[in-house]
Amino acid sequence: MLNHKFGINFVKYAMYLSLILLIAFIALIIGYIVLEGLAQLNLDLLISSNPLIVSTLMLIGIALIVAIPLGIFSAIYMQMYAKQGRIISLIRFSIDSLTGIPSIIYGLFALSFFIYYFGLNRSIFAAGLAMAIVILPVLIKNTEEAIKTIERSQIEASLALGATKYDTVTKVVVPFCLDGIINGVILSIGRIIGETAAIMFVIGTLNGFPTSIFEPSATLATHLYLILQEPTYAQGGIQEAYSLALILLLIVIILNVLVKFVEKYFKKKRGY
Amino acid sequence: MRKYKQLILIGCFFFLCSCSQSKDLEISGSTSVAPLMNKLVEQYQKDTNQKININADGSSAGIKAASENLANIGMVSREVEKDELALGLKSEVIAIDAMAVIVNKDNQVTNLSQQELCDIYSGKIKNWSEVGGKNLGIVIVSREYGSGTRNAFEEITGLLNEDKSSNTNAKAIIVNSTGAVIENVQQKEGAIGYLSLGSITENTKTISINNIEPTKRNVLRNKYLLTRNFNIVTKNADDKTKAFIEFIHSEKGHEIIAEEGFINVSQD
Amino acid sequence: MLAKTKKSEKKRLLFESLYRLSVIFSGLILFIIIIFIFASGFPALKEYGFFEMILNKEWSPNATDPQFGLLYMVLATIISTLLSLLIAIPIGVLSAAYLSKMAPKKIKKTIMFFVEILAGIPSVIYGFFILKTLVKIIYDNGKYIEGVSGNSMLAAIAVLALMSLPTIITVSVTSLDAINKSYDEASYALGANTIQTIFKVDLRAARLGIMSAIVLGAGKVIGETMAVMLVSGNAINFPGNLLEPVRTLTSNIATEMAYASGLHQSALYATGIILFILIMILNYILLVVIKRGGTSDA
Repeated sequence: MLNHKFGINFVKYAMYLSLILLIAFIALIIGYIVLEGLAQLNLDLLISSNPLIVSTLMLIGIALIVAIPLGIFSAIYMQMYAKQGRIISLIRFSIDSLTGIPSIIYGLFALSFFIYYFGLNRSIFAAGLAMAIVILPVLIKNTEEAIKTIERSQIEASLALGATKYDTVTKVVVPFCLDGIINGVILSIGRIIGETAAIMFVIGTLNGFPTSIFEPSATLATHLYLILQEPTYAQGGIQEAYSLALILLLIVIILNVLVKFVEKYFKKKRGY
Repeated sequence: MRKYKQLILIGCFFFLCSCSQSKDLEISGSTSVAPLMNKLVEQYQKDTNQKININADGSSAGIKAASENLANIGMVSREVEKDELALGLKSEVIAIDAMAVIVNKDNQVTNLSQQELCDIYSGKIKNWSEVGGKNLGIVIVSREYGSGTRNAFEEITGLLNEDKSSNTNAKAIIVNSTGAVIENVQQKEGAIGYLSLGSITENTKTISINNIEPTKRNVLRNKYLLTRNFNIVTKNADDKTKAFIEFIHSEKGHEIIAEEGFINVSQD
Repeated sequence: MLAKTKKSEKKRLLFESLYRLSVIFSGLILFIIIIFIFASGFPALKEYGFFEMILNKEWSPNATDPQFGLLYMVLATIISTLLSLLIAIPIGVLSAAYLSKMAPKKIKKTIMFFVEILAGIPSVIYGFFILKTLVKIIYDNGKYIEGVSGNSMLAAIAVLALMSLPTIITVSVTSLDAINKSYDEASYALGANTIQTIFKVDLRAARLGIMSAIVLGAGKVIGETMAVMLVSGNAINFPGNLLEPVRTLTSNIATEMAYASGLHQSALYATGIILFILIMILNYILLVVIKRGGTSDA
């Protein structure tokens, strides 16, 4: 087909059409959020979303505190220290399987495990643990990939010079793949901010300004979902939904820009 | 050395977990009872310093929570079954509720017979014109299986089969809360839904059933068809739970119940 | 100088044992999750039967003889996944091809910026958008038809297609960009024009990357819960009519998990296991299709 002019033109126009559709989708969605969000924007709504932002930050904090050390240390061990035997393969298999699981199943697990079995209250803490589990496989995989990009020859050179494995790791490996690690962390933050299904049933509902992580609350995303189901749930009604959507959009944009800055910074530092 | 470190880590984990067990009173259950419970809790928290958390997950969730000691009190908007009581639960009625059937504010229909209601929900009647309204498809809004309101509604209207399976039409939109029922009925001109009488707002339009309007009077007189009890279930209630329950049955509690549009048990 | 002081020795031992602990802990957690999910779903599968669950159309968890038939939901998941991918894959891959190989740099940068943002937006927002637009449009135009409420499989497909599009595009563009320039140059040297080069050389060279883009998008689609719940109507209905409400496997879990106990809860875990199997099957099919598509060209 591609050998005839007709075929080539057909494909060309198909590509143009796809592009136009894509631009239309982008314009529609982003335009809808921005325009409606700005139209409904007022100071009260922004202030009322403060507790949600704080809760979301607390959630991110808990999840990262648990998952980052676990994830990075595990990846370091798996790449640098471990004998590549059956146990390590089993762990890698678990990681690969878990990255494909729909988040609602994490939610189901978190409900049964943390709330029913362990008896935790519905709280930011419980949701934080749930999110830590969700991002752990991603962090481990990301860090492992980052470590893999370092050529073995560099590591062997370091060891040959008499450095211990530990020093090699801390002074050679980690600095080298720091940007990959940070990328993985930012990715996870983005995931946590937008996650609903995994934490909806373990975080509870908005309970005023969150004073403790052991209390029920809501994140920007979970609260948005509840408002969409029943607008009377929020004091601001449906308008609150629009401003929440706008805030979430802005956060995603900021995170995206942040990633680009991190990339640039590390490129400069490394010189390439 | 390594073993100690592992133990410390595990210990920290459990310590954190126990931190989140609090002296709070946990109430779980029906989304229909929750608004009433909210008001009762509001007043009680003003009078005492007891912190109370409410979780509206549905009647069955409330029973489960109470029986597994995850909540001190379970809210149930339907009858508690024998096999549920056998889980060690004690059940008492705190208020009588009626279920209102609501339609969109632009819907001209003002009354349905029990049979018509049943036929609408089972899908036999598909268009509002069949019951005196305009030519508009009927959009059935129902609740999830674990909802006490749904259970009570289906039982009274005759939508339950002998084996307790539901006859509600397959195309019914299922939502998880009272608020969502209201939202859907308000947004769609042809929608019909049911909810607790105490949850109606100025924006919801109720219809009469068998020509009886859903008012307090008609409920008390036993004339209105869709009437049910609000129950609370407890298992080995501790002092703080007993204190709160006493408050519910007190004069102040009854005042709040009446204010919210429910009927007090003692008035029977 | 990397001298071995007592202090640094202590530090080294501490960290190395931390590394080992982390792996043990992580491995334990991840393994427990997998075992937990399968073990929790096993009772329902055993008592009710795996094939029974997939093929029975009746879902009545409260009946005296509870039925856990997922047929309508399995069908709804499969059909909505396939149709949304049918929309998203052509648009996504063709757009990616244009952006990577034909677009002027500035246009590519701008569009990709927005596409990356869309890829990061929470799914609830997609549901929000479709709920307030498409669902209303469907109802306003179809309210005279019985069973039409706006919440429909069509709306679900729209949400899923929109959600998977950015993912497919970003990964495809990355793969296409990574192709060695010499391939293209060789193709042009042989007299091929741009379109021929893109389709006969680039897409085949980036085959693996594009395949993983599609797999990622498909995974997102099958696993999506909240956005679908907002617009699909959640009805346990045979998915034969695009305008009628449906319920996907994921929505089923979310709708019922708050109060499910005993065999019912086990059935929900079993639903999760079935979802997992579906995802693996889909991955396998896509693998085969792409591999074959790559080798069948002359």
